[in-house]
Amino acid sequence: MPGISYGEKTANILGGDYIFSLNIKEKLPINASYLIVSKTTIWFLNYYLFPRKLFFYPNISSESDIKSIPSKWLKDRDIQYIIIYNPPAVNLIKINGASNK
Amino acid sequence: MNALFAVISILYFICSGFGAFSLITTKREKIFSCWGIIPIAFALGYGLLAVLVNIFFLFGVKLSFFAIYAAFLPLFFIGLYNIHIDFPNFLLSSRKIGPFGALLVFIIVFIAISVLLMSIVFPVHFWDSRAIWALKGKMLFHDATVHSPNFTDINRVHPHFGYPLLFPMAQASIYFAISNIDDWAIMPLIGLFFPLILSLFYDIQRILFIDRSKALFGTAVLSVTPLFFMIDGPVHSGYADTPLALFFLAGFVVLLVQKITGRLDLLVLGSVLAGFLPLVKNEGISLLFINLFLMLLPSFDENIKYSMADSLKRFFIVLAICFIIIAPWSHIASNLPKDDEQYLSHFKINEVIRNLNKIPEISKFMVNAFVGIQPDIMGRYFEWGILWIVFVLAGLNAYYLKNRLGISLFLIIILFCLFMGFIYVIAPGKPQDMIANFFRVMLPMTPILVLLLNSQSESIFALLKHKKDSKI
Repeated sequence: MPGISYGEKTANILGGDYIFSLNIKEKLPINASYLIVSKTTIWFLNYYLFPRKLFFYPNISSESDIKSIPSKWLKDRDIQYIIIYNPPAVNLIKINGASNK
Repeated sequence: MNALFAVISILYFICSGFGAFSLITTKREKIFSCWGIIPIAFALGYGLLAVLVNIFFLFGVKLSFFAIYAAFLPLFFIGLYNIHIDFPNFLLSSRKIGPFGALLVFIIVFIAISVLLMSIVFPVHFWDSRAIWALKGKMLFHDATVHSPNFTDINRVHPHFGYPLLFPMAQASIYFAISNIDDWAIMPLIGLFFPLILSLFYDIQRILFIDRSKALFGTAVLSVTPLFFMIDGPVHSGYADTPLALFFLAGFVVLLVQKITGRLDLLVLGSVLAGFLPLVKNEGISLLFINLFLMLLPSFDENIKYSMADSLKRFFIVLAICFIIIAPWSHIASNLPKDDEQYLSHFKINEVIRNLNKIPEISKFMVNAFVGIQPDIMGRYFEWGILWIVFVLAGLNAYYLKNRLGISLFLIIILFCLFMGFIYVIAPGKPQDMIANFFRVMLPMTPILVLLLNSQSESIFALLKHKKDSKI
């Protein structure tokens, strides 16, 4: 279609996950580090949110599991946000200082 | 404007690759035409880029536009100079090809242009293209090194840390040319691989069979093989299987011609191209073994006999050059996090014995896939049409006629299938899970399959005609 931008074309083809990525991209500071908590596959997120630093913690797939992550692990990686991604629900938690929430 | 710089970047590496081609091939008698040299130069250019970048990583040199492009300037100028004085023509013969030949040309050109357009018109949207290869391209551009947490921290959202970086680096070279990450700018590069495969495939058939119409026929058959468009990573997708197929074909055809001509410069050239294979994908190691096996096969001409010493000398020259090319990446990869695809680490006698019961299921799957009744991961059938059924006829025909080229190609394909079967036996997990990527793994061997079939096509048609005439 004439005049359609690359972003619009991509959204038309990819739908859901891509549109989600575009929507949250605007809200996520580019130099921050994020922990992704999800039950679904998340590899594509890094492609669209790059160069944001995305991390995952093994066997953590829901909000209730987050408490089991050692504070040191979060601090070592300077995790500032936690993205809980279980489509269609998405939750963004900002971590303040040394505390988990 | 990014598109223009992307195209200029690609042409720069092709020209540099031609410079390397000119330096390696000392004799001026022209064997390959433009149709073969451009794909070979493309593979040389990006292969040498991967080698250079691995050396940079070893010595802690950060990637930059200047570091990458300046390093290739000498080769670029050599290539430019030799294009001016010595580039072979496209061998567009004044002899007409007839209506059937014109139809074949139309099919090939239509497919090649369609693949290029499908790449350019759509953004990167296939799974592995985004999650693995293009993502690594972005990382290489952004971090300018492989020694960054993106590549080394196992808690990063990054699948397959140890995958080789030739294809991502080719994409990153475009990012360096435009000083930016542009998801669309890499698409012309992605769309070029299959047209270059077709071009090179035409040229090797022209060399082997002399008959241009036969070369066009084989190329047309390859171009319309459903596999290339129906698998989960089709040729315009940005998966690394099509680049691997081009790099394999480039090394294989050069070594094939080397066996016919006996030229040492082609042995070096073919070895260099073969050495690039493990830098494209880990599966490239198996294709490298195929090239080594090719060196041990007897001459295709029964009037020429190779001594065992000759064959071993060729084998070890290829092995040595490949080792030199692969060594830097091997060292780098040994320091990257390992993932669960270390299949050869399962090559232990007790594990092999324990997994032998997988053989019937794996064999059945492979045979069903070849004849077209096993669906792939997308639920599609007949990925190769009737090619594998004709494969059996071609092998029998080659054996009956004692056609050494045909027998060699047949053995090579069988060996590759056996090797893949062995990998599936020793790999952990159920056979059904592993075989999800089987069709993509067989993609690089498909041109060799069509080459075999076309090499036997005349005698098969003659045989069928004789049987038909004898029944009348």
